[in-house]
Amino acid sequence: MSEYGVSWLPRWLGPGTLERTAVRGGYVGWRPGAGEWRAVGEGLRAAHESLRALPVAEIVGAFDETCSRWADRDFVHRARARRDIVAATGFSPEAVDRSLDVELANYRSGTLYRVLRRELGDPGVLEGFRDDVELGGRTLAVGPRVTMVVCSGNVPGLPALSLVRALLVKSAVLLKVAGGEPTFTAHFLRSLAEVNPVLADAVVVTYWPGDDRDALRDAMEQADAVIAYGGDEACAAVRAYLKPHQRYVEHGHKVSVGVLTRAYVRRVGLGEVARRVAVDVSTFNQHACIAPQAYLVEGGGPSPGIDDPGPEDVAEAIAAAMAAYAADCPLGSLPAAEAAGLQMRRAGLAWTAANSPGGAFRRSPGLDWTVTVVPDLLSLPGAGNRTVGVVPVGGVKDVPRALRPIAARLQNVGLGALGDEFGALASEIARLGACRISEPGEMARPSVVWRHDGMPCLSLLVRWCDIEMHREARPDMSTTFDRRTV
Amino acid sequence: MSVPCTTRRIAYHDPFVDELYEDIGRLVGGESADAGEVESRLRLLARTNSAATAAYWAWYEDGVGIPDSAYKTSPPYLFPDREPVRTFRTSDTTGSGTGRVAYSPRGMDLMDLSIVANAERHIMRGLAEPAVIRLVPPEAAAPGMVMAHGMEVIARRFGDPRLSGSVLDGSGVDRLALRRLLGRAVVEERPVVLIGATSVFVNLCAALREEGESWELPPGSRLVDAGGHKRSRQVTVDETRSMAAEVFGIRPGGHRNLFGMTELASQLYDGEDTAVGPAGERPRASEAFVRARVRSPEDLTLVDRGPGLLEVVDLCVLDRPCAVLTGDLALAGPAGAAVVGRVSRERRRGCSLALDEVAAERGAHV
Repeated sequence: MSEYGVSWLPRWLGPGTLERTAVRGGYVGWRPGAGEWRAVGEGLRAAHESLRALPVAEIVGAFDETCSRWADRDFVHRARARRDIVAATGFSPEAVDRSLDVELANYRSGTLYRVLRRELGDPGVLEGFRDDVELGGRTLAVGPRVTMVVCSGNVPGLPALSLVRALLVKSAVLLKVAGGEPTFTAHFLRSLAEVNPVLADAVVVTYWPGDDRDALRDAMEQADAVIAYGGDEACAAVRAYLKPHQRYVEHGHKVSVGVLTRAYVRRVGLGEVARRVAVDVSTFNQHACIAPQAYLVEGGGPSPGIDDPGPEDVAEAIAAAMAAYAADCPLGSLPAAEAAGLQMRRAGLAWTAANSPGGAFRRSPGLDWTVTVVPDLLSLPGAGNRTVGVVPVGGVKDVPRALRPIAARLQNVGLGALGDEFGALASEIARLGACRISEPGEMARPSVVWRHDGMPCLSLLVRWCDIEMHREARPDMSTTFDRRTV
Repeated sequence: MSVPCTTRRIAYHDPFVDELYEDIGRLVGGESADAGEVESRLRLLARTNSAATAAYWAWYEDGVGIPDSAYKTSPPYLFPDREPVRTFRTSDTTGSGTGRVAYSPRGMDLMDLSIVANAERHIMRGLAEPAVIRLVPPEAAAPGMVMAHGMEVIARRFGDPRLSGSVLDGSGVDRLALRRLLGRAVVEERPVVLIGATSVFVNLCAALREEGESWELPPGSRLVDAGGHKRSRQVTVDETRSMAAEVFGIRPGGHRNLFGMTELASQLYDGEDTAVGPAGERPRASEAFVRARVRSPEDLTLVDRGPGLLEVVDLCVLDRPCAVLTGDLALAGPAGAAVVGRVSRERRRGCSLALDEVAAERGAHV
């Protein structure tokens, strides 16, 4: 790591007013001391003024250029990040690389313009007032001066998403890295600074322990908006200090699953379906909330076999696919305590499967992967580290019932279904609570265009100012007429 | 030796079980018997009588202990032709509910035999009819609690009935009863064996200290505490001994810690008095009929040194598979395995939640 450890300090912020702080895993970072947060906030607000002068195109271009550099696995900042993330998380180097590929491929110009258009209509609203035909006036989107971001450490590269969202709406950022993976963000900002120093100068990356509520409160006081990732407890702590004027985007605890109908497995083929499931489960080592922990698999075929595989055949194929995936991209090395936890979880799963009619259990010789057939979703203890349950369901109509127990936390569903079954299931799953449906194999690659956790995360950050009923701000009515007649 | 037809379930009164039961008894009694051979027969019994155990061993790891969580979901019991005479409940130390552990009459016999043999070796050596004062409820008041049963067995077998008794009731330690029993023992200069859960002992000491009450128990008095490291509040061995000395006048050499589980019939006592674990945990003594061993968390191989998963092989468990993966972390070393903490369950990570946690939330809101 650099002299500032896991922190990123803009040029206007020397370490003189900051304190050195220990970060989990033997890292160090820099943080404002008590009474110093206001000065950092003022610096970020000043940086926001420079940021506001940047055209959106320049911001998008900077991310595009930065992420095109990161697409090269030998890019110096990426290589350093990989080294540090491997040390911090125990992920294998290839697992880290695949995580970074997935995360950073999202922030190219085409995708960023799509999200801007989807959420704001005309990205120009971030530059100045634009005609709004429906309003009969003009409208402007104003981003927060400062956005505070509380990161979670479960997904390498994930902090980039909040950085991108906040900077796209021209907000300076005060970002707290997570103890679980504190290293990526500073590397990313060093590379961003090489492309566009104005953007990087609008970001402070710091750290304080999760139980330091005073630091959380003091940091939040500097922000107009807050983005928080984490569990219920971490998010509740953030909510406790929210002020009425602050925008808040929360990404709390979620669970994800997949669904495979018989028709889908027959159409796509057992081997390919299994390969897709293995990708969904193995990406990010299944630590992300978007990763499926189970696949509901339709059974009930009259003669299960190669042409009409049943849940156990699907589990067997998934096990083979998981092994193939791990051969190219191993899990990594778990600390002894976490490995012990995984083994106890496996033992419990094997026992549950052994006591369930139709149950089955497969595992790698080491810790790379685990596949089990269990009777219901709630029989699956724990999460993560490439452990997936296959849950047989009698028919497609039984899928919503099987999902109902987890509906309140349901997020991402890999829906392997076709035609009318797909349409009916997608509607039911959406009504149950899911906020993303993709094809199996695409679960771990949500685009930044997706309304993350069901929310328009970019537009939630901005405040709109509309001018209506004013002769000085009437839109071009010919445009209005044209649109209405198209 | 009888050889059963392994494609059919082995009946409770099959000669194979008769002989096995007798041989285990001999093993516990110190007679020469081949522990490895007894273990093989117990495994054969489990594999034959429990299709689930056979599948578990085929799928997960051959012969490995079944996990403690098994008793919460699908508790094994190997003799469907013999109704259990006793069922104990596991404690909810992990917050995931309680389990059930069933015993046949022979299973109960072997458990009692093991408890007595172990107590004789590890607690009662040099003591004649001590006052056995139990910091657990009477068995009749807590019929599902294996610790209440085991400690009452010890008191009945070794204690002076006039001076012994349980001092724990539903509202905590009965101080009057405690004072009365301790007072009598002091007057009669009879050594006291204080026996109970570590947490109860620690709380009692804290309360007595606060109130300035202490005792100088007769020489030879002992403290036997069970557990101590499953709960979030961890007490070091030195702290426990210091409290025992300060409040009861029990010398450090009079302290024994035992590791017991409802899922096991036998207990593991401290062996060599050398601190091994971070809280001063001692290595556990192995007996011919019960031993602790450590499996690698990477690949489940047995390890001689270093951290891993605790597996207890208890040859006095007749009614269930005889090895248990206890869910504890252990440190293997030349003097044996020390139990150093619980395995933490892999659950939430950042924004990711486990499916069974969703179930727990639902349960909490029903």
